[in-house]
Amino acid sequence: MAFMSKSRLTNHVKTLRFLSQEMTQSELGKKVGLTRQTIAAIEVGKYSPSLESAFKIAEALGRHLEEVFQWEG
Amino acid sequence: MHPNERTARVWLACLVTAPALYFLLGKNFDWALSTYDLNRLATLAVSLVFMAVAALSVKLFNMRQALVQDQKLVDERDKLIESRASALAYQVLMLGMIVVGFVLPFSATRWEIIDTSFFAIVLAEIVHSAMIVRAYRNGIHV
Repeated sequence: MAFMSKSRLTNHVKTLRFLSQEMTQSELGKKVGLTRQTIAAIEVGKYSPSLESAFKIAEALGRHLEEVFQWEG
Repeated sequence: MHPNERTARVWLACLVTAPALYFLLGKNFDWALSTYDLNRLATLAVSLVFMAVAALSVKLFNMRQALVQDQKLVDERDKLIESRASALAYQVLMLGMIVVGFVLPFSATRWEIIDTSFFAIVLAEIVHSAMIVRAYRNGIHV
């Protein structure tokens, strides 16, 4: 169970969203099939998206997966 | 605030207030009905109807908000949170039902069995809602 454990997955979604013509959380959410609140949770590290959603987010931002998400091993 | 978190918070408040009133006042509240059993049933029914109306109101409010904001109501995070919370609540409910089904029939009165069943259901729902609120507040990871 990992309700509160800190994620070792970091991301640059917020920065890249602004670099993509200041895309809003809602717009990104609609593109990848997630709610605005889930995009917000991903940005602050409160939720680690599924692999499929991670790929979709990277695609929506026009980047490779490893440019958007990093694993702090 | 996420719609599901709002629902869980309202539901949690209902789960604490309505059953608390039932358990505190239920035995003594007089609805002027003919028998003791009917009085108890009336108090139980009022508690359940209050909880159902509150839950339904918030659900409808959330659905309306989702339509107005043209937003999805659930996604993968919501499903994950729901499944984790349900798994925990299920264990609490099972424990309660084991007590009600295998322990109490040999020693308790019928109203003690009914009250314990109701309490187990309420406790399981409290665990469920509390886990949902906690997951939305503090985050959740696979």
